[in-house]
Amino acid sequence: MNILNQLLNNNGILILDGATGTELSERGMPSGVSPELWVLENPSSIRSVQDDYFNAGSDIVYSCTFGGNRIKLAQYTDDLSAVFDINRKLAAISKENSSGGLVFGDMAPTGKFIEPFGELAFSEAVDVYREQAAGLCAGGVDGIVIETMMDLQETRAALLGAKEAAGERPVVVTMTFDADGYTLNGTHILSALSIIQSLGADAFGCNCSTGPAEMLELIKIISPYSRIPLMAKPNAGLPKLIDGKTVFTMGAEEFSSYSRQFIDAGVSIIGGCCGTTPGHIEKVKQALDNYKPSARSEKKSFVIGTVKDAQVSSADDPLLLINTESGDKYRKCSADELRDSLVEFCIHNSYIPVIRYDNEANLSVTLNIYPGRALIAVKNQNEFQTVLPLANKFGAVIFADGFSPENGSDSECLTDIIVCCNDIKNENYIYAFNLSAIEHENDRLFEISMLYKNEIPVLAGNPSDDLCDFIVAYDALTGRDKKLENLMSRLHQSESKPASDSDVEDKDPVYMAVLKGRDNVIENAINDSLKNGTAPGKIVDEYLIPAINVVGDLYEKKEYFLPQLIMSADTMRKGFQILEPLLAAENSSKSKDGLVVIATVKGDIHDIGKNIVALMLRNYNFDVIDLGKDIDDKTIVDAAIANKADIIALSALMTTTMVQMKTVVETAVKAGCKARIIIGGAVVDQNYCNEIGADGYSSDAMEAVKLAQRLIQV
Amino acid sequence: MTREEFAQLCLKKTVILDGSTGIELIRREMKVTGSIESSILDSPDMLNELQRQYCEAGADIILTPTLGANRVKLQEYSFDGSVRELNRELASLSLKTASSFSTEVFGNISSTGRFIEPFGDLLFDDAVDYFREQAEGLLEAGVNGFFIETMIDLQEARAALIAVRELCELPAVVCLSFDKEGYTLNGSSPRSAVVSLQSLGADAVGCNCSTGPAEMIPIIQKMATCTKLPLVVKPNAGLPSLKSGKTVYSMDKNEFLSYIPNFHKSGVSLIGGCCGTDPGFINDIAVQWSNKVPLKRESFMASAIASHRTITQFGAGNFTLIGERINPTGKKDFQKQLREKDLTTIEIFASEQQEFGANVLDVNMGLSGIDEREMMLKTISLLSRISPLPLCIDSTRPEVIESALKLYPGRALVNSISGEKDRLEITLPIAAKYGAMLIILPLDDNGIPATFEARVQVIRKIIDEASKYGYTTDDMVIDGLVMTISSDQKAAKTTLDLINWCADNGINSVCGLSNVSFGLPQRDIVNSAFLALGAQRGLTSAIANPSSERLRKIISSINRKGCRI
Repeated sequence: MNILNQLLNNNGILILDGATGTELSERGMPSGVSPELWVLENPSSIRSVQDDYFNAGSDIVYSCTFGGNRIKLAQYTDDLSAVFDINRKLAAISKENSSGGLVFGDMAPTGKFIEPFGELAFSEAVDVYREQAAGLCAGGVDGIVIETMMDLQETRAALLGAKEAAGERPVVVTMTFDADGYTLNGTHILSALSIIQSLGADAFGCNCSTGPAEMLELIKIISPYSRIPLMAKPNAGLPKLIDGKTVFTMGAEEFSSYSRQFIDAGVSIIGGCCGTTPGHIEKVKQALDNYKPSARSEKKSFVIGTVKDAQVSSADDPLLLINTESGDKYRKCSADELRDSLVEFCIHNSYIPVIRYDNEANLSVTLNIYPGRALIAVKNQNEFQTVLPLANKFGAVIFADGFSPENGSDSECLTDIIVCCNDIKNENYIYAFNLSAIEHENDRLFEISMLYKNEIPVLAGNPSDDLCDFIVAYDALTGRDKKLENLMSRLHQSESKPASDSDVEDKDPVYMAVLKGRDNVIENAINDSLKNGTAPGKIVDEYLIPAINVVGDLYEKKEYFLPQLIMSADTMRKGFQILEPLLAAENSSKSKDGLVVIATVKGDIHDIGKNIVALMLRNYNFDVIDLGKDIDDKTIVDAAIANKADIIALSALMTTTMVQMKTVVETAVKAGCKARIIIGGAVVDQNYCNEIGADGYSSDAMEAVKLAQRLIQV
Repeated sequence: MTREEFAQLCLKKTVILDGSTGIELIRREMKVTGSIESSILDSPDMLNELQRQYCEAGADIILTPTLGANRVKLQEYSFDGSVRELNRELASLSLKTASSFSTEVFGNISSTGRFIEPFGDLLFDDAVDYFREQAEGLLEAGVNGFFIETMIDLQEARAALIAVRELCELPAVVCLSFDKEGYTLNGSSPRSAVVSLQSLGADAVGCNCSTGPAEMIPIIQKMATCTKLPLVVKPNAGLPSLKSGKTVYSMDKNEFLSYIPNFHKSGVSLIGGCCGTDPGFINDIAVQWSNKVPLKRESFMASAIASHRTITQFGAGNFTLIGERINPTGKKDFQKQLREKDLTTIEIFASEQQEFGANVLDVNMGLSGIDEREMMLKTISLLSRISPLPLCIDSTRPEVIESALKLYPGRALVNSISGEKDRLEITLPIAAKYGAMLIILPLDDNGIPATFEARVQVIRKIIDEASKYGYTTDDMVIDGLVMTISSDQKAAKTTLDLINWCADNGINSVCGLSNVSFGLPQRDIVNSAFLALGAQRGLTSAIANPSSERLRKIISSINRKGCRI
C-alpha cells in the first residue's frame, strides 16, 4: 500500500494546500519571472508559504515546480540539461522544510498540443514528464501530482512518464473542467476519469477553473464510477475582473462551507486553487475536524471513455450493450488501422475501437498512443494471458470474442470468464462480459440473467432482437430500468404504435405532465400556469381532466398500460393537492359529481385494484370514502347511509370472499340503503353481478369510472 | 406393537414374515366349502398346525387368514354372516396360536376384486367402508398391526390404508402385486405406489405375489429410490405352472433362498413368502437371515408427488413446470362449459400442457355459480384416467380440498397453505391426513408482508405449525408470491430474495409467473425473463402456461444447466 492510501486509511480525509503563486507574490516575487527559477534563488519564500499551509492544517503541499518541465523552462533558460537538477532542488527545498508533512512534486501542462492533435510526439511528451518526475523524486518528494491539465493526451503522457519515474510513490491527477464538465479540449469528466483511473492513477479529481459550487456538481457526476480516491481543489469562487485584474473574492468562510458537501459527495483529498490562502485552508480544516466520510457505495460500475465522451453503466443502470458488430459507437479494427486513423477514431466520428489482437508489440505501440480506453478482442485463453499485462498497463478492456468452450458445457465456459477476470483483481476488465461465449442462441436468453444476479453492468456482443427484448425485461425486473421506461418503449413499440407525440406536444405543460405521467414537473407547471393568471378551476377543467380522459382512452385501447395509468393518475393527484385549497378559496360552486363508498370485502386483503379505482374516481370528480380492506357488510352499509353515498363500490379477489358481495347487497336492501352497488375484482364478472343483484360490474378502473358516471348520470 | 416399535424392529433385524396360508392349507387338503376364510373356521386345527410351524420356523410376524374376508369377496360366496365377526374369529385363532411364541399377528386385508372409482364402479367411500368393517373385526380380536397385500390397484390400497388409519395408530404394511413389466394390473408404478402410500402413513411398503423373486428385484430397487420406509418382499416360489390340471409353484427353497442376498443389498427389511412357500422356506430364511441387520439406505427421493402412474420430484436438479391452464379465471368459453358440466376443454388443456412439457397440472374450479366440489371431483376423475401427470389441487375451500385429496389416486400438491388462521387450523390438518405436499404462501391475516424479512417470518411460522403434523420442509414448496412490477418496481426483487433464501435453506420454491407482468405489454417476455432470474437464484418450479415458446426455451436452458437444489 502506498503512502497516500495509508494516510487515507488512518485519517479518512487529507487536506492539500491552497494557491502558491499569489502567496509568493506577496513575499516579493516579481511578475513575469519563472517562479521555479525565482524560488531557487529565494528558497525561504516557499518555505514560508508552506509553513503557513502546514500550520493551517495541510497534510500535503505541492512543490513549486508547476512550470518545471523542459518545454516551459525553455522560455526562461537555455540550459535544459539543468531541468532534472532544478526539479530535484526545488523538491528538496520543500521536503527539507516539511517536518513530517508530505510534499508532492507538482507537474502541469507543457502548453503544447500532442499527437494526434498536435505537433509534439507522444513519446517525447512522455520523456518530458519522466525527466521532471525523476528530478522531483530525486529531491525526495512523497508523490507526484499532475494538475491543471486541460488536454487528455497530455495527461496520459504525464501519467505514463510519472509512473515510470515514481516507483512506489503515488501519482495523482487533477484536471480542469468548465462548469459543464468538459476540458478546454472537449473531453468530458467521466471520460477522463475512465481513462485516467484505468491507466493507473492513484487519485483523480478537479482543480482550478471553477469555484466550489460548480466543482461539487462535477464530483457528483464521477463519484459513482470512481474506484480511486477523489480530489477537489477549487478556486475561491468565480473570477472577477477588477481594475483590469482577475481576482477571486470568495472568503474563507464561504469557501469552507462546501467542504463537508465535497466529502459527502465522495471526495477524500481536498484543498484550494487560485485565490485561496492559508486562511481558506484553516477554515476547511476546521470544517472537517472529526468529520467522518460516509462509506462510498461499492456499486459495480463500468465506464469506457473516448477523448470526447464516455459510456457508463452501473449495476443500478440498464445493462450497457457494447455491440461490437455495429458501426454506431464501436468499430472493429486492427492495431495498425487504429494507429493510421487515430484522428478519425478520436475526433470525427468518435468510435470506441475494438482491436483484434494480432501481435504484442504492435498492440503495445497502439495502446500507448490511443487517447482513450480501447477494447481488445481475444479469441482464446492464450491470447488472453498474453494481452493481460498490456491491458493492465494501458487500461484497455479485454473481452473474449467467440471464446470457444475448450472443456465442458457452454455455461461453464461462461462462468470461467467471469471467475477468471475476478481472480485478476483488476477492475479494468472485470465486468465486460461476452455474449458470443454462449454458443447456443437459445441459451443466451437464459444465461444473460446471470449478469443480473452478479450485478454486472456491461455486455459485449451482437444481440438478437429477441435477446434485446429479454434485456429490457431483465432490466425492469431487477430495478435497473427506473419507471419501466425502456421496457415500455421497446416492448410496447413492437406491440403497437405509440401514441403520436406530434399533435399534442404543443399542448399546455399541465396537460402534458398528466398525459406523460411526469409527476416531477406537475408542480412547476401548475405554478407557472397560476402565475400566468389561469384560474385554478380552469386548470382542472381544461387541462387536468381532459388529459386524464385521454390517458383513460389510451389505456382502453391498450396503447397505455398499467404503469402509465398509475403514473398519470399520481401526477393528477399531485396537481389536485396543489389546486384544492385554491379551488375552495375561489368559492368554487362546482360540486362533486357524486359520493362513492369503496371497500374490499370482509375476509379479503387484496387492495391494489381497489386503490387504483378509488384514485381514478377521485380524479374524475367523485368524493370517495375509502373504508380499506377486509370490511364487513354492516360497516360498509352504515358508512353509505351516514354519508348519503350515491354508490357503494366493492372489490374482491378470491372465490371465497366474493360471496361477501352478496351479503353486502342483502344488508343494503334490508337497511333501505339507496346507494347503487358496483363490483369488481379478478374473480367476479357480469354474470355474478346479475346473480347477486348488484347494479353494475366493471373489469378495470377506467370502466369503473364510466360505470359510476352512468349510474348517477353525470 | 406401536408404530415406533415396528420401525425400530425393522432397523434392528431382518424381519421374518410367514409363507403361504390359504394355498398351503389347500395343498394340505383342507376341506373347502364356499370361501377359504369360512372353511378355515371349520378346520381350526389345520390353521393352528400351519401357523405354529411358521412361528417355530422363526417368523416374527404371521398374518391372519383373512385375505378375502371383505364384504365384496365374501358376497361372491353368498356369505350371509357378519363380516366383522368372521374377521374377529379368524384373527383370534391366529392370536391364540402365536400367544405361545414371541410372534406378532398382523391383520391381513386384500383386494375386493373390483375396480374403485375413478377407475371402476365401486365408490371410493364404499371401499373405505368395507375395509373399515373388516379392520374393525380384526382390531376387536386384538391384532398387533395390519398387512394390506396383493393389491393390484393403488387406489384400492389407498382405500384400505385410509380405513386402517382412520381406526387406529397400529403399524400398517402395504404390498402391491406387480407384473413382470413392473406395473400393477391397473397400471400403477412402484414409484407412484410408494410415494403415495408413504405420504398416507404406511409403515412399510413392498410387493408380494404375482411373480417369483427374480422379477421382484428391479421393482424393489425402484421403490428403494423414493422412500425412507422399510421395504417388504413376499415373492411366490417362482412362476406358477400347470401340472395335471393344478397350479403348482416349482421353485425349491434353495433357489428361492439364493435371491435373498439381492433383496438384502437392495435394502429390504421384511422378508417372507407368498404362493408356493411353506414353513420349510421360512425356516431356512430365518436361519440364514434373521440376525442380519438390514442395510441402511442413506438417500431417497424427497419432495415427490405422484399420480397413480408417474411421479414428479421437485428439486434434485430438475425444473418443475406446473401447468396453470385448468382454471376458469378470465376464460369466458371455459366458464360457460363448466356451468354446463362440460369437461371437453379440460381434456384438451391436459393433453396440450403435457405435450408442451408440463410436469404437474394445476386444477382450479373456483367459479361463481358452479358446485366447486362436484366439478373438482369430476375433473380429478377424468384426469386420473387420461393424464399421467400428478395434480396440484388449487382451491381455497377446505371441503373441496378434503374431497379432492381423498379421491385422488396418488399424492397431490395442495395450492395452498398460508399463515391465515383458517388455513392453518382447518386446511393444514386435512392436507396432513392425506399426506399431500404443500405450496406455502407467505401471507397471513395481516396481508402480504411487504418485505422479504417479514415474509420469511410468516414462512417460519407455517413450517413450525406444519411440523406438528409430521411435515418437514421436504414436503413443502414455497411460493415466492410475486406481485406486478407495474405498480411496485421492488416487487420482483422481494420475491427473488425469498427464492434465494429458499435455495440457501434447501427448500423448493415456486412462482406464479404471470403475476409479475400484470398490466404490461408482451407479458410473455417479462414472465420468461423473470423465470430466468428466479432460476439463477434457485427457483425450482413455476406455475405457468406451458404453451409459451419463450418460457420453454428458458426451461430447457435451466434444465441443461441444472437447478440449484
